[in-house]
Amino acid sequence: MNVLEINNMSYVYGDVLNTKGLDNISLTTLEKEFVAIMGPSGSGKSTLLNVISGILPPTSGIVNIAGENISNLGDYNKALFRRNKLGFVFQDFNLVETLNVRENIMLPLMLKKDKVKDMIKKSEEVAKALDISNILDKRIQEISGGQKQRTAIARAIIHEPELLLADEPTGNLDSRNSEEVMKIFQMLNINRGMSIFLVTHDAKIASYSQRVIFIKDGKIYNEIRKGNNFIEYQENIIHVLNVIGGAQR
Amino acid sequence: MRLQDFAKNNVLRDKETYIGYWFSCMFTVFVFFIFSVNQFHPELNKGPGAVATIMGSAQVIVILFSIFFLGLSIKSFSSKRESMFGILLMLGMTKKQLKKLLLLENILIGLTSIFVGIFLGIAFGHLLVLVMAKIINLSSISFYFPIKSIIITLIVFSIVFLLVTIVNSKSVLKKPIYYLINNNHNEYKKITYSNLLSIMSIVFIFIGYVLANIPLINRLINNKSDFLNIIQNSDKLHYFIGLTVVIGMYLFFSNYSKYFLDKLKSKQNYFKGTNVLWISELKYRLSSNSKTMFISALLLTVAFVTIIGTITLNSTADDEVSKTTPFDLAYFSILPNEEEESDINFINNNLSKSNINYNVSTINILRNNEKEREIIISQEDYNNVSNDKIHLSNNDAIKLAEENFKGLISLDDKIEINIIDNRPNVFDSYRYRAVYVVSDELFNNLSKIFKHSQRAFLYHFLENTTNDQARKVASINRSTLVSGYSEGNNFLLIQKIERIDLEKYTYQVLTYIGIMLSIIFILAAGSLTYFRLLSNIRGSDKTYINIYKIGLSIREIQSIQSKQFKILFFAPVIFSLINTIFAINILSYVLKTSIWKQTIIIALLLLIIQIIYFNIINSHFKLKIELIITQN
Repeated sequence: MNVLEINNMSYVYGDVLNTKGLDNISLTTLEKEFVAIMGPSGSGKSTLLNVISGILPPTSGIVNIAGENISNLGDYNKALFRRNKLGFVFQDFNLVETLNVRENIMLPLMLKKDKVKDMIKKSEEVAKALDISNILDKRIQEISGGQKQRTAIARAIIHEPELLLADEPTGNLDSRNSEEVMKIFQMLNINRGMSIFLVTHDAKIASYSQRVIFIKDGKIYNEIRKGNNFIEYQENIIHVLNVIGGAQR
Repeated sequence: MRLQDFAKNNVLRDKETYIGYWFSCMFTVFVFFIFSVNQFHPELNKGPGAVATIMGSAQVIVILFSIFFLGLSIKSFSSKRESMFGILLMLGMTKKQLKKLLLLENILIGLTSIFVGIFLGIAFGHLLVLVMAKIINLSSISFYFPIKSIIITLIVFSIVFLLVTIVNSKSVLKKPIYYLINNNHNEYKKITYSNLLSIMSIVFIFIGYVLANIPLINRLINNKSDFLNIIQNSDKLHYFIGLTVVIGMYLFFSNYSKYFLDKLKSKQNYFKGTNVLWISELKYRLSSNSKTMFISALLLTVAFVTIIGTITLNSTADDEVSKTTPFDLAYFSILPNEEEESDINFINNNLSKSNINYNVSTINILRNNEKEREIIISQEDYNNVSNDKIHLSNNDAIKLAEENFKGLISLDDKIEINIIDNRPNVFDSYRYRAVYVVSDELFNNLSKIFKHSQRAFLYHFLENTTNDQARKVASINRSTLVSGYSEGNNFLLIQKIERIDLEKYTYQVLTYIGIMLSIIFILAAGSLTYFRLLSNIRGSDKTYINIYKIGLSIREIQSIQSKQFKILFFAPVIFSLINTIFAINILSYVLKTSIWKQTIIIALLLLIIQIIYFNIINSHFKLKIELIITQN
């Protein structure tokens, strides 16, 4: 079953922002699939993610997530949709500084008005899975970057979303922490069957996925599927990046 | 965790942000409550004057100001949190939930400040009521539990907080999520200023300050310029000065300051020591702080002028009344008056009984039939009441007036008098429009034409008379005779001490209100500036860490930062003190007395308070910088 279906979708910026829009994009991702989006900066990766999140309405075309056409939803239903069906991981973590680790993880459940008992139970389960049980009562200012991103991932999955959206989740992390975060994504995908849609410019990060979709100038350029050979997969990614000009940071 | 826990954590775990604002709100509530207690106190309103009315208007000022201050503060808080609001909305928070969150946060801040303000009001309120009782000469006053004021304060401020919060959350929610998330408030973006507006700022301020000194300039050129005379006597002059200075001040902070820094950069010693570092960044700071600096300069100016103005007015009451009322007691008999003799005897007896030594002079007054409130008195009467003796002949006359007037005047169709000189008035200055002294011979002739309408008995107490003696006599006279015009319009009784007391009472009530309002303004300016500087530090965390890595010590970074903050903090303070000096200058022209001694003392005191406040917040900022650097 498809978790994400995009049909002939275009997005045109109304103002003169540097970011380019999207031009007639069509793509589908399957349930339990881990897809990476790559492309040079300004290619429209982030715009695509924002359209899927429902915070930028597509100018034309259809975006279906988990069987729901998000363009048809009003403000209120969009919020409900995001809180129930989507999970978000951002580059700069975007944790709430006035809340501690546990409270940050609980946020999506608070929005759904879950029982406090359930919130505590679920947050502890997720924290255990992500190996951050020992820092649950710490303030955000006290924990490291890697711990911050694990907290953010815990927040993104505590409500068991249909689709996990990640925007350069390792962009602010060193290589060791990046690797650990990516292993978590892989674990979520394999063990929990989480569908993941990840935006990155880093070939190594993208190689954790099962499929890489390349976009350039707002259009889909190419896609590569992971075969049995991991090294070949990574090399193919780098090759395409060299061609479209997004290999270097 | 529920939404209310979230709201509570957002406020309580970020006390650093809200402490100044909370304190300011709390004191505003306190002042409003005190005014309300004064307004409704049953005994305070039995005295002279209208305490209730004055207090009522003062409360309106407090409310209007708190709407302005709350709106400004809440807006600046939420603009710093826009990206967090965006994230929450993205995570699936509904707009209704965000509205509720903001409301809960503001209710927490608002209600606690209201309750503490009222509590302090109840604790210290009676003390301030006693002060008011003293001002209006009430000997005893009972404690009254201000239940009405509690309810009014609670309701009024709840409404203000709610209103401002709702308006603010509406404006936040109008922005699209995409905009909120990506709205990082980067101070170091771009800086714009215009050379023209920079120069205009100096021009505006210069014009304002020159106009404030028009009377001085006018005097230097002996009032020769008609144009300057027209300007000086215009009743719109004060508004015009205020407007030019405010516009000039706005342009000064928004344009000139940056223009000035660019000019400074071309100087040689710009590259000395850490100058490059702190001056180049200062431009960005000035840019992001210009609005707050302007508002704070404005608030401080109003506060300083109000404090200094009202306090100095008090000390001028005696002088001022003496100028307009050059006698201690006056009985104007409106002829024919059958009770004149008995009234005068009564007054004389009273004075004797109270051991007051006095001189009394009688002045016969002819009224110019043609012109109202123009009178004629004789040289003999004038010489009796006045210290200087004059001798007039023929149609020569003297006009009792402050202005310089000489020349021929026709009293009616046939008679012309020649004004040869001017002297100070012997009557109170509001009584007659013009007083002419003529020779005794002319006076006798004129008395056949003009009506002998009044006889004035002017009393001068000898120097050893105390105010208390005078007050005692005044109250007896008042109770038996009257204060002001008698019932049948037979006579008019004016007692100087009553005028002094009324003037003092008015000034003291104004001072009481003025000081309270000024404290609110000063606290508000302090809290706005505090939050601005705090945001500066928070926005510069990466810069601090980077220059620390480059090799500057924590102490050096702190001192660079202090240098910037000193300028950002004290520029509005100094500016407002200069404004105050010019405003006081105008005031002293109006009052015609010098109030510089009091002005300088109070201005120094206010400056010292600002210095102390700066050092307190700056030591906190230094600690914060150290924490930012050491934690990373």
